Order: sequence, then structure tokens, then C-alpha cells
Amino acid sequence: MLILKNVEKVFNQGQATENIALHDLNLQVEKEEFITIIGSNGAGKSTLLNVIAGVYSVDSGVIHMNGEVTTTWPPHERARHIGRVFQDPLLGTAAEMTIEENLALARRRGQRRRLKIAINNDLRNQFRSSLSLLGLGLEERLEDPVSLLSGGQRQALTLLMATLGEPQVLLLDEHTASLDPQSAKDIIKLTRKIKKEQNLTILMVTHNMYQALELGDRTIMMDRGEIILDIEEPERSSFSVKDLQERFAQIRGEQLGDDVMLLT
Amino acid sequence: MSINLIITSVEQGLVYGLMALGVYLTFRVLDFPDLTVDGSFPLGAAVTAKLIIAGTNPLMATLISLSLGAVAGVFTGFLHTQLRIVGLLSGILTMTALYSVNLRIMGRSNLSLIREPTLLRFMENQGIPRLYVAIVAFLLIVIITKALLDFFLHTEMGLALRAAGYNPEMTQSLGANTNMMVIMGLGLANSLAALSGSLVAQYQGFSDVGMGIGMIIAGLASVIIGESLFKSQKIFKATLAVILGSIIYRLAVGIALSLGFSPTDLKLVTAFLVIFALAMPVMHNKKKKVNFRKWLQKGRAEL
Ligand SMILES: Nc1ncnc2c1ncn2[C@@H]1O[C@H](COP(=O)(O)OP(=O)(O)OP(=O)(O)O)[C@@H](O)[C@H]1O
Ligand SMILES: [Mg+2]
Repeated sequence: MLILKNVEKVFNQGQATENIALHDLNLQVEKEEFITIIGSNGAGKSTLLNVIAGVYSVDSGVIHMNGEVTTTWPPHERARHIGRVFQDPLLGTAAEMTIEENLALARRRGQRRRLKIAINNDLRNQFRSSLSLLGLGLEERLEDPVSLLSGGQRQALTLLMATLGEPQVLLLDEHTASLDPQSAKDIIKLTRKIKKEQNLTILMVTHNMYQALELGDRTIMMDRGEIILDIEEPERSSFSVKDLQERFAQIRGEQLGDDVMLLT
Repeated sequence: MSINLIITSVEQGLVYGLMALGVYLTFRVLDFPDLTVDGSFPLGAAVTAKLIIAGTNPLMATLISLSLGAVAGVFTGFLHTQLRIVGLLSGILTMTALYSVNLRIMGRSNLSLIREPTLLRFMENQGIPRLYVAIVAFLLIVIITKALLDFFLHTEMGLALRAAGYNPEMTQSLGANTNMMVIMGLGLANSLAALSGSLVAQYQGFSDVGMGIGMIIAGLASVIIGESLFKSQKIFKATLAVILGSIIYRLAVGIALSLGFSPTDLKLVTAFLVIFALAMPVMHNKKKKVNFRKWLQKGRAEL
């Protein structure tokens, strides 16, 4: 489904601030897999998602998606296959536009945008029924600008938008991190539901190691631009957070001698 | 205030309102500080004057002017999106280049249309009383243009264009080509500016190479005055506010002139009007203060 081969991403190459964000990274994601990604700050998790989405171009390496080489595609073309939710709820929607306009925008993912009025009553009904599944009452507020919504509501809307227009891959970057605990729970519930109902491949970055092990069916751990641990079912179900921490210390300890860095 | 002053102000407010709609589209919708307008407005005037004098049908001349304005906007968009030149500078480059182009088109610094057939004269010949001909013509054109623009901004393409201004990263992540949207928006905005320039030339009876100077500020003043009337996220109201803002701006200018300001001081007056309008929220409202700072910093960063 999604293959990254020897991907290298260096920021500020040749300058004093040179920073290898992804180093010789290899990853093969199977169709409909749900992968959780963990790693300390600056490990390269967001960069990995951005490279897959085309926001950053790679310095070397190849990216395949759905059998096509997408390494040099601009982000808007890759968006045909990819839906995204960002950490900041403000990033996922156009605040000044209404709920229905945001949905109409998302709906044309991967299709030509026509000189045709974007919203009609059929669509409104469609939007209403999708929104009612979120259970937030947004179906009554189609014409409200998104700026009136709470962070949790905006994130739920973004998640819905990310699944419109038939993307095959969903990239979630700490999409509950800036929400209050209850909204975060709701969004995770929604994420599970989406996974259950649609045959999407999901890559989800999280800082919560419990969540990482509990959700999905494969967990990878990143550190300094590399994938240092990759565990799948059934092995994964016997893994605890403590195991993760120990494995990290062990792996990094072996490679880096007296490395005592721990995941927080 | 004499009735004449009011009629003239409304006429001017309407015809310059077309240009202000373009400024609204770039500054507000696309969030792109486009200065091309100072060149595309006189481009519209120059092309129209030249063509009409050469015997072209005035309607045709107007339409050609409008299309060339679009070309100018697209050029600025190309500079910005393809050559990665910062937005403010891209517009200044096109505007500067257009100064020479406009002179070349006209062959000298001004052309008179006093004795030529114009759109307005054509309407006059259809029996509309002379006093009302400009108001009727401009009102008609403004209503049609506003309706088309409102329609466009509600189409699938229009939504993508608006989103590209509000949140480009998200727009790309939904599969829309934001570069194309910027180019298209600039083309549209500058075709409006050129249309405005074309009509102004036919209205005042001449085209002058310097008539674009300060257009942006006049357009911005109209947009800001409109927003102070009512700020709405509904497109219909927002574009209406721009046109009303343009009329009020021209009224203010007319009053300033009748109070004895010299026409050559107009730009100074306008600049201070815009500064005043921008400063008002800073003095009154904390929330907008941040916006104003952001706006200034953005301008600085762009330069
Ligand atoms: N646009 C950029 N320009 C320069 N350096 C960058 C850029 N984006 C990321 N980096 C650097 O690349 C490295 C990886 O960053 P990245 O954002 O991918 O980390 P992360 O794993 O997502 O961390 P976090 O958990 O804090 O979100 C960091 O050292 C970061 O400073
Ligand atoms: Mg990150």
C-alpha cells in the first residue's frame, strides 16, 4: 500500500543547524493496517508524515503509494490518496468558512473543482447525516462558520473531512494532543469507529504509549530519524508500556553505549 | 452637500468599486497583498483609449482591456508561485513593468476620448438622460459583476480559492492546487481593476499613464470603510460592503475637495484616511490590535 525506501530528509543541509530528521528510513505499510507511531520530541514522527504527504520533499529515497511512485508529487496530488488531521485543530479547517463549505471543499478531494455551485440540498442532507454520526449536534449548524466551534468539535469535523473523497490513507499527527481529556476520548472513539467502518490505512502519531499499544495493530518507535522498534500482532498484545521503555533503553543502550535517555 | 456632488460620488464609487472588489479579492480573500492594481487599472484605461481611437467597438475594447488585466494578474501570480518571489514584490514588479507597457500602448502619456464613441455615449444615444447615464451604466455593470463574483465564490472552484487564502496547507491537504488558486484569484482581481480603469477612461474622457497611482490605497480605503459598516463572513454582504465603502470613500473625497483641499493633495488625504481607519481598531479594541500588528509585521516580512 505505502512503501518508503531509504528515505533521507535533512533540514538546513550544509548549515550549522543541519538536522537529519529522517535517516535511511524504510517502512512498508500494508493495506488497511493501523499503525501507531511513538518517539520522543524531535524523533522525526511529524517529518515522516509530512514526507508521506508531500509537504516536505525527500533528499533521497523513494515513496510508493498504491503502486505509483509519488516521491516527487506535490501535496495536492498526493491528497487524492491521503487524508490528514493535524495536532492543532485550527489547522484542519478554514475557520472563516461555514461547516458545510468546509465539507464541500473536502468532498472534492482528488476530483476537478468545477464552476458549479458547491452546495445543494442533496449535499446538505448528506452532510447532515454524516455530521449526526459525530453526536455533537453539528448537523444543526451547517451554516455556522467553523470559527464558532470548540477545539474538539473542529477536530471531529477535520477527521470527518479527512475521510471524505475516498482517500486510502489517513495520517493523524497527535490529533488529540491539544484537546481536553473528554474531547480527546471522543476523538479516539471516532477514530476507532472510522477504522471499523471504512477500509482505511491509518498512521497515527501519539505521545501516549498506552494509547499506542491499545489502538491499531502495529506500533513503531522512532528515534533520531530512524525506526528503532517495529512490533506487530500477536507479539504486540503482550507488550506493556514498561516493556517499551526497556526495549528502548536496551536498543539505544547497545548502540550508543551509556545512553540513558528515556521516553517521556 | 449639493446633489451634483452626490451624483458624481455615487458614479465614481460604483466605477472604482469594481477595482475595490479586486482589492477585496486579493487582500481579504486570497490574503495576498497585490500591488499589480496600480498598473492594471491604467492598463485597462490605456488599452480602451487606444482601441476606441483606432475604431474598435467600445464594448469590445472594454472586454479586451478586461482580459489584458487578467493577463497582468496571472503574470504576478506566476512570479510569486513559480519563481517564488515574495507577493508584495511580485506585484510591484508587474506594476513597474506595466508603466512602460501602458506608455507604449498609448504612444504618449495621455489620450483623449472626448470626441470618441464610448459605452456611455452609446447609452446616451439610446435615450437615457445625460445626467443619469453614468449612474445607470455603472450600476448595471456593478450589479452584474458583483453577482458573477458572488456566484464564483460559491462554486467548487471558488470555495477552493477562498480556502487557499484562509488556510493554504489545509487546502492542499484536501487536494486543491493552491498555486493555481492564487494565479486565478490574481487574474480575476486584476481583470476587475482593468475593467474599472477602462470604464473610468470612458467616463472622464481620457486615459493618463499616471491615473493608477494610489489605486491600491483607494481600494483598500473602500474595503476598510465597507468593513466598518458591517463585517460579514457571508460573501454577498462582504462584497456589498466593499461597493458601499467605495461610494462613501468617494463622497468623503468629494467633500474634502469642496472644503478646499487641492486635488493634488488627495493622495495624502487618502493615505491618512487609510492610516486612520487602520489605527481606529488599535486605539479601541484589543483583539484587533493584534490583527493590526500581524498585518504590519506581515508587510514587513514580505518586503
Ligand atoms: N521545517 C523544519 N525546518 C527545520 N527543521 C525541522 C523542520 N521540521 C522539523 N525539523 C527538525 O527535524 C527534527 C524532527 O522533527 P519532527 O517535527 O519530525 O519531530 P517529532 O517526532 O514530530 O517531534 P514532536 O513529538 O515534538 O512533534 C527536529 O529536530 C526538528 O527540529
Ligand atoms: Mg510532531
